[in-house]
Amino acid sequence: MEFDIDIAEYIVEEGLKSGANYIEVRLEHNISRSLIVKNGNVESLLTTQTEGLGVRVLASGGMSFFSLNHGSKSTLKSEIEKAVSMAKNIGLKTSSSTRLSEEEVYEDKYSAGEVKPLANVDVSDMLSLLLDVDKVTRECKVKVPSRYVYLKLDMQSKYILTSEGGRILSQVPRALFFMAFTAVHNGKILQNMEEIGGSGGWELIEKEDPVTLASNMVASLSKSLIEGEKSPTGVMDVVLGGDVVGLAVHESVGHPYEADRILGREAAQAGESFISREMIGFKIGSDMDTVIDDPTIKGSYGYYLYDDEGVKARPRYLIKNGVINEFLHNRETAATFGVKSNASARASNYDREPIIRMANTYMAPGDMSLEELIEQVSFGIYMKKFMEWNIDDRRYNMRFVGSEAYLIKSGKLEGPIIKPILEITTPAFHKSIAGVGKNLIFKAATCGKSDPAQGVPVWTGGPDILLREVHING
Amino acid sequence: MVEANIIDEASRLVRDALNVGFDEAAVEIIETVESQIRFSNNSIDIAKRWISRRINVFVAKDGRMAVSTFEDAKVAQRSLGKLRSYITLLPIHKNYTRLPKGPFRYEKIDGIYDPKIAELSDKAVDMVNSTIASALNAGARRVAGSLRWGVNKIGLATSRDVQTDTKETFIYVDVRAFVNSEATGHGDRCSRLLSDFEPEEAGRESGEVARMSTKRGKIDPGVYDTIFHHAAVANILNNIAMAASAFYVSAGFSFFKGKLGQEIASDKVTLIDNPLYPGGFGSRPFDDEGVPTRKTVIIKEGHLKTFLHNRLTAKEFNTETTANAGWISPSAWQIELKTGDSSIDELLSLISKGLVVMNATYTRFQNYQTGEFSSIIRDGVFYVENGDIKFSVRNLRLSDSFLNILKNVAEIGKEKRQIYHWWLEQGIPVIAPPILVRNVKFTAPGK
Repeated sequence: MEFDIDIAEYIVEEGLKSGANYIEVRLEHNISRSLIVKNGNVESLLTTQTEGLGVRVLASGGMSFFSLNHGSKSTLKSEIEKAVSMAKNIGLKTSSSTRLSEEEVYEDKYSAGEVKPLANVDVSDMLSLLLDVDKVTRECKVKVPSRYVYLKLDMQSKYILTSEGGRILSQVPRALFFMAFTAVHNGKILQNMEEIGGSGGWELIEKEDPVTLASNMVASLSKSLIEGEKSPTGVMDVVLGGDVVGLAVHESVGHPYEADRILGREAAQAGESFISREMIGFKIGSDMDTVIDDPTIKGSYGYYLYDDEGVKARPRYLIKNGVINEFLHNRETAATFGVKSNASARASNYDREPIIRMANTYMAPGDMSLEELIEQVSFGIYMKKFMEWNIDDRRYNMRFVGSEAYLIKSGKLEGPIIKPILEITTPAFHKSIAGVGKNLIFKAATCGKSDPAQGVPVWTGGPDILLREVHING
Repeated sequence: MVEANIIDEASRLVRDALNVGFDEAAVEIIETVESQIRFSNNSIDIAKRWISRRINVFVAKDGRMAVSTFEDAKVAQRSLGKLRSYITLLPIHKNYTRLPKGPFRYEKIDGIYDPKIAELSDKAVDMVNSTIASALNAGARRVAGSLRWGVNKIGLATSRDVQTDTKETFIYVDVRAFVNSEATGHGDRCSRLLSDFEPEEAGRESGEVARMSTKRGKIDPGVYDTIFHHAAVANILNNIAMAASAFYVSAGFSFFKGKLGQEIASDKVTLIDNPLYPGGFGSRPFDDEGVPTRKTVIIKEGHLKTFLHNRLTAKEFNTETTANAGWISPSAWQIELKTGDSSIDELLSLISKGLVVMNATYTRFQNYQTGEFSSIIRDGVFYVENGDIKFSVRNLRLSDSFLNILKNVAEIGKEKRQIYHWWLEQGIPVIAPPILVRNVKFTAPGK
């Protein structure tokens, strides 16, 4: 993708002339192709091809942002002047003054490698995959009357220019597969859904093998419908599958460690955080509890090497051996906290401001097999996958409802149980970790935040873990 | 009327699509100029402005269809050939039916455009500051939120003789007030007209609720008669509106599946999709297929009367469109709950031991088809005894099923207003009063 770099240079030049102290320009080009198959019927091919620019301005301590995807150069000049004027107006009329941390300036370009480029994947290949997935769900012991399968292939190209001289050009192709099935048997209804994805070429979809995943999902739904028993309730040991652990650390560690939430900038929308800035060094989990957010994992759905402020990305160790180690920062919160940014500024599209986001958040694996974790449980459950979840606005009170779960008796896995409910506080969850498995798995998700809403691609990851003496509702 | 060029441009693209061999096409062009001011900790964080144009294109050939989004008409025009080659690879849509034949007559909806909103500019900063001041005066210590306003121009042309347009303005504010991190309140106001817009009221409400929330007490999780206030009702109705979309019904994402014609709610419940509501935040004269929008009664006195349809789902369900297209999936425009006779005080007087829930957010389903779900309740959750609010409670979670909630609606308030806020799961504007629901289940984390 060729960008009109002269336009970016022009914006920076005009902005500085108008009195801005800092300007950052993002030019973006996004293309995608998607297919929806519902109950075996191809609903539609969907394509997008969008291109535009987003500009953030800092002047006299105030901040403004504007975005354009059409219009003349004179419109652009007028919008630059308005943005600088608005930032100055805010600076004059507000009690706080926005500052950015000092950071190293980079000029670089990168792309996520593709073995089988997504652009070369034919619509018929996409279609075959979805129809094969739909077909396999019908080879099941129970009826699966509602089936929804979706595949999206996209390419995001981006050029970032800052008035400090940062220049980053990137290209990230991504693929996302989603499936949701409803199975019925003897008047009982169960549902499950799953999302997989990453950055790279078609090989990442082939590796995940959606047809086998779908086959396994309907088999587990079938087993639960035919053999499932009511979940036991009360205090017991619980083994959680990597799917559940990944989402749990995303919600209970990633979000509350976002420094903008800690400072209250998202207070009216997603909420604040039970974590305060003084809690660095606080022991919040067991010694086995280490949680990392790492944008640099090759092939990941949340992959990037520089954030949208041009800061170089690195792994962020949010919890190290149970101790709070660092928060997620952009340049604005880093300046407030007196630290360096750890490159967490992301915008979902050119028409959104960069704000603090997770990338690929996961619990570090341990050295135990699933069998070794289960062996330690005399009576409890194994919640492998979940359906319903949520967490309160301070990220303190969370809930997961199992969609695939099994009873454990005397260290052995028994039959399926229906909808066990783990409703637990964040500290109780992290302190009860008594064993960590070695099998780390990642799932794709679209993380929502901010106003206007910004959905960004992330991985959530985790190994199987053992929680001691937690309360299960049924 | 919108300037002719937006319709001409849409019509040109329709002709281009037919020229490359499609047998049907529709083009919708949306031009938006929009602004926002975000604030937190009693201070403005950032001002934003968007000048955008979006071109949505529907094309079909022999019952195979594609939907594309562009931002440049030339790019859209150049892409039609590629779309034509893609589409031949698809099987025929089993419910394909032609776009509705126009031309149609559209009802004029009063009060959806106000040039004063387009010209708001720097006055918005003062409006934000007065909203913050209202919340602080009502007892808040910290205030956060956003003010957003703008103008949309929408033009639509189809290959079946539809050429139409509309112009609308909007302004809304979302406010959250804090006395401390656990005593919070929410306020929202939305309008099409500046003269009807009362951001200070949203500020005042949020501050008052935050102040009321400082007196805290504890109750056990369990089943409580509950008044859901405006913001909470709006989110509940968003999920019910989603379940009424025929697309979601057949996809397995609806608790209304198999229940058409049945009594699914208390006889107090009459729920309407009303895109013709004068000054309505979600009012719109035509759907994406060009069909004139209409009032559709979804639930009448407790009975499920219809799902919401576009032409494709209408064929699947052997019925007529309800003018809720979406080219792929139909959805509600603006949900209106018919008001009852009770004031808030009268609703409170009907509770011996129960709760008032001001806001319900983050709804997630255990099972879309049974309607089992849970939601985070916040910004004012109050314990009520013998009609009096006693204290606020925290850490409870609304954990029930939408079918139970619909059946257990005992009374509907009379104080309706337009509601639009950040946490609406489907983004569908709502016109509703508070409601009283018996026997609502709440859970809490285990000890």
